[in-house]
Amino acid sequence: MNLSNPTHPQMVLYGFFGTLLVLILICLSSQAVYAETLESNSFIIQFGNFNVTSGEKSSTTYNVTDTVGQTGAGPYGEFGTASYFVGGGFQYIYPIDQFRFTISKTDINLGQLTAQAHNTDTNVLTITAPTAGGYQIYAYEQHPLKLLNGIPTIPDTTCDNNDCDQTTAEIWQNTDVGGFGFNVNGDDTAADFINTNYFRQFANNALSEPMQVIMSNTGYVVNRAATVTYKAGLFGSEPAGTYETSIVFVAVPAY
Amino acid sequence: MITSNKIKTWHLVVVFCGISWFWLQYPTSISAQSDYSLSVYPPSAYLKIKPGTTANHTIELTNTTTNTIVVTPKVFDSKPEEDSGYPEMQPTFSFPYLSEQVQKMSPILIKPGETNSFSLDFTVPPEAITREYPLTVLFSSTIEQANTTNQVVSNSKLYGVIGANLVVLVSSDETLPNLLQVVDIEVPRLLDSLRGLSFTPMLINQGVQTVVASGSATIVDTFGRTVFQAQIYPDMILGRQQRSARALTTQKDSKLPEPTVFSYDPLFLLGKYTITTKIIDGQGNSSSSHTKTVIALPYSFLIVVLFIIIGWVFSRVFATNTSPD
Repeated sequence: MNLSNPTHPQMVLYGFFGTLLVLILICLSSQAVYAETLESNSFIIQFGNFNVTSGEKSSTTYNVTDTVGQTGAGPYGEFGTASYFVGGGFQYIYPIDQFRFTISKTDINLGQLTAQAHNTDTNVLTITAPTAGGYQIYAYEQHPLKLLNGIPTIPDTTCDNNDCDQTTAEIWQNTDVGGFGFNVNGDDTAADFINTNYFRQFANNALSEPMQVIMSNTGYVVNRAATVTYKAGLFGSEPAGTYETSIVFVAVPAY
Repeated sequence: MITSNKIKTWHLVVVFCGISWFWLQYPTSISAQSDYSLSVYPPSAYLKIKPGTTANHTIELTNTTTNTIVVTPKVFDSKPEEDSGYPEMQPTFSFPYLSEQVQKMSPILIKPGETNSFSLDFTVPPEAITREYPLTVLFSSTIEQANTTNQVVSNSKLYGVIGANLVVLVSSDETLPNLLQVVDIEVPRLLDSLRGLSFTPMLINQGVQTVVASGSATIVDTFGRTVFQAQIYPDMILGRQQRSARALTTQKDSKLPEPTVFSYDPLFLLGKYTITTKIIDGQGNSSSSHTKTVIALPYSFLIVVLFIIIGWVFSRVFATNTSPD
């Protein structure tokens, strides 16, 4: 091939700069100005002007205001009166709904446990958090599964590869591996519960392990639900009897 | 950071102990429940008390199950977690103006479908200084006992605990100034044209009282055109708290306003972009603003083209050197 012939490389360069020119023209021709528009069946909010605005916009579950010119701006009301539905400020999400926490079932019965088998039970946690900042649900156990009126325990699981604990969920499918653990699957669950095969230990209050967040959201949420699966299996040497523990779920709204 | 985490861990441990202690003090005599559903209202409240006066705050608890629920309240000092609105309960209770605190902590029995009230009475002496006190009230309920068998059986008891926040401002002033300020905008100075422009305004509330984050953020391009506008999500910023601002948006499939990141994602960025974040106070005035300029260039595009050209030149040189001519 003759290197002195510039036809081919010139075409490449022309193509490159031509493409670049087109992209620049596309970029420069953009005239869009983006304003926030919020709407539902019962309200619409459009912020076209950032300096002068007022009023209250609402849906069935919350109100939003963008108010200017009032005195006593901020969440506080008059002296001696808690303010939570008469807010001031440029915009304010009213917590007009209740913070509601539901546990679908409080009897967790894993049945008769046998070696080389896993028994499970489930329930559902549901939460409504009508605050701008969202919520957190923590979980912990009073102690590992322990024989009633006795010392023997079914220890908290360490999962298939001895790599899970109260803060990190890992795969637990091997029925040769006994123990006690849980999985959370659904809305707002902790990221380490990748799927329903991933299990954690409960934080053990008897060892002063701090309770751990299992569900959270940083915004206003309604009826967020997650299924908790409790699983236990034996190593084979545990004496007969009823093993029990207390599991605590703590739901706290954000400010 | 490590010290902060240790402190946080210690705080959580103490909170556990507090909850556990109350279970032991007030064992329930209520029979087994099939489920648990409890509501509190308001979830978060802001109470301003003038020194030398008294005040009262009532939290309503609604039992929406078919069983009677007994809850035991306990009040904790709290503070916002770093860069979030989550309360972090403290191991000690130092709030000095709660009247008859011990008497208030007896168990509350709530019948199915009923709403009961829990009241907190405050007495603030005239000499009290201006200060904000974030508090969190936890309502713990206890449930059933396990039965014994002669097989290896596992029964677990579940306890529900629900919380409510109360932020008490002690101040003699009718109004306190809104001292929420933008201290920085976190964004890279140089951007690739093929990537979006995401940024995070950092806010600090230098005032003593909680304020609502209010304001907007804009991006102006090289030609002075406003190409992006977004409202600041109305997060509660407690007194002395620093946290990042979030953008207010509504997703297509949701009727609720949601927090999101400030992000401008056009097809191609090029040139200078000026980001401005303004805070609006309660009077509608701009109380604080911060501006940062970033430059967008097609780095990745140019690098790819450069490699293609270099590769082409090398291939031509290689082809020439290996040519039989």
